[in-house]
Amino acid sequence: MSKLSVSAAFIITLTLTSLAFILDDLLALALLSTLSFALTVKNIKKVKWVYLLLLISLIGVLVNALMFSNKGETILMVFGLPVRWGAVIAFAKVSLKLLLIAGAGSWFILSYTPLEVARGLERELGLPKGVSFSVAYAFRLMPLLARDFKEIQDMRVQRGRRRIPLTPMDLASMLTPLLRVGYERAFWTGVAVELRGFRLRRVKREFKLFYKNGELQDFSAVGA
Amino acid sequence: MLRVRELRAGYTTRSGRAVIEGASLEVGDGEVALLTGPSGSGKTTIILAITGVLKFLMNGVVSGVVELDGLNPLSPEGFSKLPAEVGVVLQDPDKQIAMPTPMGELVFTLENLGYSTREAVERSIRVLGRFGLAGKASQHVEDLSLGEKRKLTIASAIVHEPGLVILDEPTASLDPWSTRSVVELVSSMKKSGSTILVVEHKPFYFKSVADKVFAVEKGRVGRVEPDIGTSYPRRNERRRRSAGRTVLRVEDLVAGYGQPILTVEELHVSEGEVVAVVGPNGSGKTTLLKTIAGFIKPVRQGRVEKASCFYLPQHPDFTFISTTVEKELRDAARSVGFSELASLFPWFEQARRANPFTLSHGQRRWLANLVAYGYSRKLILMDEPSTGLDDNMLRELERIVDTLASRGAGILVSTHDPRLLMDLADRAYSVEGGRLVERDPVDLAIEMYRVAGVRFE
Repeated sequence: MSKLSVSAAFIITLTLTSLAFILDDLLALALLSTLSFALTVKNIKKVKWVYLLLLISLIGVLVNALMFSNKGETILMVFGLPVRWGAVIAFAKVSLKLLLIAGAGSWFILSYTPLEVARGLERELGLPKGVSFSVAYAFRLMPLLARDFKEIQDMRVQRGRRRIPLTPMDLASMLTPLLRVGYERAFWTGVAVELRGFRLRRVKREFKLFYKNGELQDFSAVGA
Repeated sequence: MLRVRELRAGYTTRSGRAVIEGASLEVGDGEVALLTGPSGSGKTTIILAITGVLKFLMNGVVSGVVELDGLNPLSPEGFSKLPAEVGVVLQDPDKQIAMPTPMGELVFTLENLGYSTREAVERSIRVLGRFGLAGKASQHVEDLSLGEKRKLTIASAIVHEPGLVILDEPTASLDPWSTRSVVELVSSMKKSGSTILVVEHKPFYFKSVADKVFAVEKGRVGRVEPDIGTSYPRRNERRRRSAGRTVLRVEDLVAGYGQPILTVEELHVSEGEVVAVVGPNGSGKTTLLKTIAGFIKPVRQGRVEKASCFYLPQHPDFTFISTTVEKELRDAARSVGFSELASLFPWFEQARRANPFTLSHGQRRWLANLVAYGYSRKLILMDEPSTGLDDNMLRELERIVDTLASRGAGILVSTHDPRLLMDLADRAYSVEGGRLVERDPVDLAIEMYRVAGVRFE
């Protein structure tokens, strides 16, 4: 079975995100956001944090709608405050726009591995090699940063400090070792990739709409 | 072929002092040469200089003649062509693996050098198979053991079959089993005709494969006979520490992350005693220490009786929370007074207002140890404290540990470094088949050297 290429998926995601900003029609927004959400339902556990953030942001959306768009016919009273038709429409529109952005982004994240994204952006869309390398390296670095952060948290607890930073001093004392170790790691990785010819890297650019069955993109089909 | 003549190299500092002064060395085709010397003598600087990194990526100052398989890496053109002709492996795998998977790592190198994706993938599969990593080609590199990461860094440096391979401290942080496999890899590369330069402060591991040995001393390089010294090791002559009251007793504990990793039937540490826990990379030593410290919930609780303790991580930087050395020690002065802690830090007067992160590596390790001692004068848990230390720095570590032990601290050290067993440990436990077994530290150290392939005379 063919698979949509990274570049094609990236353009679709970008288009859907742009439509979220442009569209004002409630029905069109509802259709597109439902569609994009439906595409992610199967693997929703992997992107639950996206939807969690969306839910949290809806509180702000509601407050905004009540403060700035609470006009027209009163629909119901909440704690003595009138909720008018204008606020409901504004809340629905902004919520659907956010759902459309979250759904499109999640669909893209769920469809490809980090390496596929990095290679697709470089080869098919012609993004600079530094950008695609950074994407791949970020995925390499994340577990290391998480491990360092956990170690720092354990040390802080051992020294009678808060595990979660609440004050600027807390934050500074946690970030300093994290950044120091991270910087040193990034510096030497930079040296190592230069010694392996990164500056010579010339990638043949080719736009594809679909990958044929079995076409190697992230090499996950081999070596396993 | 590698030829270096009158190399002078240094970093751009206010002092302008050269780290390397007139170094010369030559390694012929198919030869294995060792470059040895204490920390700070300039071994890594030589590698950075002869590969052009110091001049072109670090704004350093380099002069002299360098020839690597016909290339002059000190010219812009030679530096550009270097990656195709030379494979370089740096010290720490975590600081050089750039891609999330082993396959991605090798393909990345080959694509940089102009191979097509298909060619790169096919060649990478072959090389990963040769290094025993084919089954893990698509796993995240963080799922690999340290030994496997080291193999991956060597694989990615030689995947394009360069004529010259340079390895910087390839056995650093490795257990004896992984050390042996690295030595065997070097031996097989030599058989296939590669020229190899190995920078190593434990040169005896490579005695069987080395054709030449160069020693770096205060920035100068001299050729020495390949008599690396593998005389039968003996425990350092010193008074055995006398043990006091028990500060840690563990019985019937199973440590692990949900699944059992290490079973402890009995383990104890007394005041003033240094006890080592020894085992291969990934055998659960760190997990055990963190379980005792209370960071990880044990799989089976068993019985753990302990005095107040402090866990010291491998990376001393993670211990610090204050902006000056003085504040750090004042904050740590819980079980002993601040003045005692300050008196134990040899550089206190010069460094009291310095940020701990600006101290040298050795000073940071001292400070971290004193923080641990300040919090708990009874029991200190040290996680792999000798990682990456040469013999001089190891002596320094021993001095700190001896100081703390002589003041009554019980010290439990996790390690796979036989030198610690020889010189520091009063008693030792070895991880064998997922269980902790008490062993004589010297016998254990000799066994570890043998596993690593060292043949004693």
